[in-house]
Amino acid sequence: MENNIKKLLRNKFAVAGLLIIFLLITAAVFAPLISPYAPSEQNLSERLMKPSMTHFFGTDDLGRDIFSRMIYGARISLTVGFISVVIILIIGTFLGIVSGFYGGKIDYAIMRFTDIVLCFPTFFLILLIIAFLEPNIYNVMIVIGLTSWPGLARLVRAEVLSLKEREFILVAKMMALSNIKIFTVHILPNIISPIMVYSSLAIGGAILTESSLSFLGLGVQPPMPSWGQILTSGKDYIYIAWWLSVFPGIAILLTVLSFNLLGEAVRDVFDPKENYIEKQ
Amino acid sequence: MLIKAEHIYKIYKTNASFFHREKEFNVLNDISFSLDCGNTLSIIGESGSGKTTLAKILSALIPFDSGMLEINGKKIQSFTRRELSQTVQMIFQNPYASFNPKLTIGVSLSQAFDGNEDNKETVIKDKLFLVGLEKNILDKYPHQFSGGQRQRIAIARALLKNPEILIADEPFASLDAVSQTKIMDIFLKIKKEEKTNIIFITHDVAAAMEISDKILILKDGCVARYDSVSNIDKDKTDAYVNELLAATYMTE
Repeated sequence: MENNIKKLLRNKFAVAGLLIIFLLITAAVFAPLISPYAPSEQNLSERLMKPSMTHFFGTDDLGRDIFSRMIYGARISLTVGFISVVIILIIGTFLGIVSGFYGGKIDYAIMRFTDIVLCFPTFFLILLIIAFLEPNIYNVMIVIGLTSWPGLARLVRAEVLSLKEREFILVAKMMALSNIKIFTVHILPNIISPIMVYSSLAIGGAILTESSLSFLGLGVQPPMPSWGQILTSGKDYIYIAWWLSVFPGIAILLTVLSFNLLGEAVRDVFDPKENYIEKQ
Repeated sequence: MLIKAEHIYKIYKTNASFFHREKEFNVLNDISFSLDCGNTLSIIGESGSGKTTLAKILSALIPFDSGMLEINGKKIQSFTRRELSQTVQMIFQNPYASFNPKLTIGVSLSQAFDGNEDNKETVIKDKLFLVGLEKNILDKYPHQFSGGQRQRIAIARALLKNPEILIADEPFASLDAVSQTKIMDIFLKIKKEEKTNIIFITHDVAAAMEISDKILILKDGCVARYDSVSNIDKDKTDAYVNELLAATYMTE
């Protein structure tokens, strides 16, 4: 484990990704201490001000400090990203393993259900559900989680299908290991790399979906700030106040990118074979 | 009688699709044989003759379609997984795929134990010694070993359960000549020192003649011959056996 952490820290991209994620988490946790203004504090005499030393990222049409709003917005984006992915991981991994390992009718039933969910364009399905439910952060997280698992379930199933015929799984069966132990000791560690990569992409995807929903007014509701919502407020002023759209856009880009970089690096670290080749 | 197999059939079916009908392949046809305690059986035949399928049926990894298979007078279907693990163990032909690449050898071997047995370390040490390996390999990962070393570790792992029957499915298949000789010596040692009955699957007739008491020759899923080694050695009238023997000499 210690070696893995050392190896992770030797990877420049992983360090860059980790640094950005660490900064974001710190900003989200210590938001009240870091932000110079309250996120909803309006000052109409200072509306649409350019970035300056008093307002690092400028102000919006109501004179609210964009920097402070973005720091609070990080809380929303990260929470949505992490919790949605946890839901995706639980459902996708469980259904994928059960489907691939047991096969037969169970596999058929799970995969046809997955196909049905995949048939719907995810974003429109989310829009539809959110339109029926009250648009708030909890519903957004749950709906993203409940609609985005089929990709992971299929990925996990495919991995399990190829793994279960491998001889070490047959040996595990012959050693009378329980199915739970085979799942946790033999199958999960061998599919963790694609799951990690998928999760890192899914965190980025969930943050983007939340931003898009907030952009359409169906995500986090005002006055609670989120990056997507700040982007929305900037669309009417794009020609006169570029900072309203650019800074939240950069924040979304950097967050998604850093999770992808980290996922990629973690995949390399978790492969003992690659570690060995590098040592040689 | 240790193993009694009567009229075993195994059919593989391909999945039907919109464009194709379901197809059936008779992999094993009417296989019957028996094995007494203390005897070693070799199953030989060309690739695709059904050797590995029969081995998997004997270790209950796959079911058979019809027939009867008993171990110690008990039908194989009525064994629990735990009972079976103490009765039959199998060594697979690919030593590279028979270890979980994410686990150290120590963790892989300790899975043969149900709980926290006190003598676990001693037993592992003894079995590793039997296959000519030291205890210091336990912290290493499978990819740090050669094919021959992995196959020896696989044999030690199978023996940790003290099985009555040890099925070795082409254990030399992917090994060089030196490693093959070492592994063969280990099997001869197991036959002599351990109370384990070996079922040896190979297409190497010479190796089969050296280690076994009885030989079951499969051809296209059917029994071509089932006899004792001495009878097969004396009677050279069987064209297929002669062909197999000739192939062995050519590889030598």
